[in-house]
Amino acid sequence: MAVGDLALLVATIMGVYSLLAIGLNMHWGDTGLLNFAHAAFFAIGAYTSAILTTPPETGLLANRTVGASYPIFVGLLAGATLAAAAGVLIAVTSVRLEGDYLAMVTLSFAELIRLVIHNEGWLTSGAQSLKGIERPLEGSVPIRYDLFYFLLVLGVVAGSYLLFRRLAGSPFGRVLHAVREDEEVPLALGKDTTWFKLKSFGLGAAIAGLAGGLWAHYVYAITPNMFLPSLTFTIWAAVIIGGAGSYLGAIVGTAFIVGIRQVTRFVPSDVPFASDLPYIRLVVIGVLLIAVLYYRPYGLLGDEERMLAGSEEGAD
Amino acid sequence: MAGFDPQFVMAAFDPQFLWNGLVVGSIIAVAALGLTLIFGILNFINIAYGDYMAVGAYFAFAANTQYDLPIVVAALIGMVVMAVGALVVDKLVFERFRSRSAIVLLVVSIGVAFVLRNLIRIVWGTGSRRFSGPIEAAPQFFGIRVLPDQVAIVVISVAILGGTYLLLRRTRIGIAMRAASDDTDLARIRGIDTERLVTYVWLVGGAIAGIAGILLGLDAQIRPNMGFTALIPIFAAVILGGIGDPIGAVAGGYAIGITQELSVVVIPTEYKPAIGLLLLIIGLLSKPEGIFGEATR
Amino acid sequence: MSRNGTALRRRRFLRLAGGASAVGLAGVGSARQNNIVLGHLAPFSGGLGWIGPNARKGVGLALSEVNEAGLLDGRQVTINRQDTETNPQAALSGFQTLDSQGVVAIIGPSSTVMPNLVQPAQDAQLPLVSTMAGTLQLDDVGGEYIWRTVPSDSIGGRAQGAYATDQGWETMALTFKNDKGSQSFSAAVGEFFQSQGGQITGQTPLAPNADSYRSEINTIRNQNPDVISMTAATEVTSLFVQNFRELGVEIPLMLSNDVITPDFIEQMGADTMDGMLGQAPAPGPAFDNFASKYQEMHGEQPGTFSGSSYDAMNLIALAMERAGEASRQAIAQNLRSVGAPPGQKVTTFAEGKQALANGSEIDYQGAANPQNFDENGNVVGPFSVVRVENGEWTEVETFSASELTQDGGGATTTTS
Repeated sequence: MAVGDLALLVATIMGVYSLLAIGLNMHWGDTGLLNFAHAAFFAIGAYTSAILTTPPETGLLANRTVGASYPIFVGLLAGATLAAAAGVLIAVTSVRLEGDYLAMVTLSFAELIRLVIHNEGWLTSGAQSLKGIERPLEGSVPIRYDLFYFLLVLGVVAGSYLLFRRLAGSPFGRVLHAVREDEEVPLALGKDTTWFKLKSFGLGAAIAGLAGGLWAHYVYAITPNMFLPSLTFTIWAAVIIGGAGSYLGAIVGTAFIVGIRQVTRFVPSDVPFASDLPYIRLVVIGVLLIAVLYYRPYGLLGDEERMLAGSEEGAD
Repeated sequence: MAGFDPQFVMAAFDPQFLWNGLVVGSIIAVAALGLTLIFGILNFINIAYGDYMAVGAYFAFAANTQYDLPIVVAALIGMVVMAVGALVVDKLVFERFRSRSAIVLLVVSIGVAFVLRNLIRIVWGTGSRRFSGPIEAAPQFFGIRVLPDQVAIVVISVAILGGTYLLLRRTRIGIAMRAASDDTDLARIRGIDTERLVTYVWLVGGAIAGIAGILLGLDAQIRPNMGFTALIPIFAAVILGGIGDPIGAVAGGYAIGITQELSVVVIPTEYKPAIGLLLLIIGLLSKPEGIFGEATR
Repeated sequence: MSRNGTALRRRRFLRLAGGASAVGLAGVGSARQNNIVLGHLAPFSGGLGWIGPNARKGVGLALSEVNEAGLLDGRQVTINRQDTETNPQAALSGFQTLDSQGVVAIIGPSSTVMPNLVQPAQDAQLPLVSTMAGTLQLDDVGGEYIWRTVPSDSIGGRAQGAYATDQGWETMALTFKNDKGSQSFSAAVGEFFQSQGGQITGQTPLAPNADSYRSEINTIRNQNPDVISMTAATEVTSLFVQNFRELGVEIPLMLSNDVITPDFIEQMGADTMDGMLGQAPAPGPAFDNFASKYQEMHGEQPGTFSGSSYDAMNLIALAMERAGEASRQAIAQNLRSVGAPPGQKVTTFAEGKQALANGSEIDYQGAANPQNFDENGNVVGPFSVVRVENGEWTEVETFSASELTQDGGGATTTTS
């Protein structure tokens, strides 16, 4: 039934993006790290899993010579692992940088990674889509496949939500929060704050990588253009609108942004400016982002205490 | 795919690449100058700066092709619009966040960038535009092809760099800017009205962003995302030159422009954008101030 | 290429099982009973945002003709338009939105997003007729639910390759925008040129957002080819051509069909464009009539993909008319029959409706192409090579469909 298909697609997109938001919330909400490479971790997860589970192509445009037929869960696992590794590697070089410099470095790394994905066709199919990506268990689930996949994504989201929330409340999470508020304190207490930051970076990147794998195995084909910096910015907007520091907020913010996108699709196409809708939407998201930061600095569901601390450090 | 044969190696000494690099470097240098002035006083990374460039270029484009004004007049209009525009954006948005952290301001500037870039798309469409004027084969001098537009770009950029230098050295407001850029708190203690300074910085920085966008549009194309894609090498120039240091930013701009254009001799052209990215990463990672955190600001 | 057969069968079963509720939904509000909703999924924003409006206008013309003539005893057709944003994810959302609205067929989008829609269209058993996707990746996947009213790049590429061979050019440099569609077309040109004994001197990708292509052009010039084949949409092409002229390169330059428009010459200037080559599908049998009606309705010349979109709309309507019902299955099963011979040749919906009412089979002759679908839902057709002379694209040679489809055939070779 088609209405159900649409609802499931939108819900699945929300789920996958929620995973991205959960990862980013670990970085920014919990640890105060400005990660602008999230689209790259998503891409690494997607491409790793797709390459490991999809044999090389044939035909005139076939430029990809690398590929395998491992089971999909191996691909997903490898994707998450590699994304984590990339996250840790980037963090090792740059996590000591001050917040906004870290943003620039991570953004640059993300663009470099995308440039490589775009241009190394032997590995990634380059600008040609890496296509024919299999869906897990297609044809052998007793329920509608879209429903099955949504439940799978939902399960992963729920699991990650519980896990990350638990982490945030654990002694580990408390150190992260301390790093976020004032790194001097945990340092003085003898904590190796760099090590904690690396772990935070790796964990958040891993979940983004897993999201990438889940996305790749859902949409049949992936191209480098699906991983532009604007994706990172969108997830940022979701986390901030939802409320940095709150995992539920991250999910709500994502649902909100994906929701705006879908709802505006039902606008009749003959109203003025209908063809400008994607841009109007982005203007609205931009304005919302600013408004939320101004009027509700802790977002819809954010951790109030955390943002209050954030606003006092302005004078330096 | 570029092979690695002697012909290409010879090309490394091709003065044509140097000239192209000088032109591109001039544009980056001007843009970096505006960015570093703003950064020096306001202490946050303004992601929307690239979009300021685009707004300046589009207003000049509108004046030039939609109202048939000569390019020089159109460029002045674009500059003025963006100077005022930068101030308006500050009053509407950034001013309200003055007490917040640099990180919050950076995220706010992403919101501003979203708004500006997409307003451009709504008003002028997504396609690429160019200023009016015929396309002609460039005359050759000593084997180097030199376009009149390119000469104009180099000359104008030198004029702007010189003018800004005088402004910073010879005028009270400029000297105050430099003082504030070095240490905002100290400047305040010495009785410099920092809010008035901020106004001047946006005016000057905005005008420079506008003209940089126009120069870029003159050499390449006018596109809604032209500023955003140019941002990485511009930031790299600012970082390499030392944040808040105008002369350093200009030097960084020329260095990056020339490196980028010469790079095609040794790397495939599709990796040209990697030069700016790598220089930015290296620049940031190798700065001792960066590594030691707070001390820089 | 047959995909997951079992999955498809299973789905079909589930769909039948869920049929009752689907009917219930389609019937919401009796006013809608008489309306037939078609989807139009095209890029209206993003990288290819400029071609969506061309397609919209082509569809709009056909729509007004169909509604005037009356489809299935005067039921009104309405269009639900969705934007792909030139982006696979948005395209998927758009597709599912249309599916959820119960459209009976979709007039479809570009190469950028088509590969992501093939499987969903088959799953939903929803006919998807692309009016702009030339990519080779669709060459062997269609024929049931996937169709297109533009020829594959493999055909257009052959026209370019064949023309180059005819000119006696022996070496060719390929350069293309580093994106999917352009790469696909360029590969087709190169393959055919080589099959005719030509030599490719190099392949130079052009980064989409670059500020200049001077170094790329220098690289190409250093390869010293007899001809350059350059494939890209308008933005990259305009900057490339600008830099190409500024650098005073004298090598013949062949451009791709995206820019074979009067607008492009006007944008670049007639002097700049003088002597440049390109190829485009030769206008279809019904083009002149279509163009004058289009001019009357929209006050401008048809743009790229206007004609193919007009044809897609007409073909879908005729398929419904032939089946006597507005359903996905009816359209899927009748598209080939109304497009391809045998049958009475018709060029508009009204003619076709008349002929069908008289009990004849029909062979729709399109504005963009004869629209004779093959077993994979592809069309072939003649291609013209054009050159800019006095500020206008002027035909210099036309290759017939049969010349372009014979294996290794192409036009007569003049290389000695």
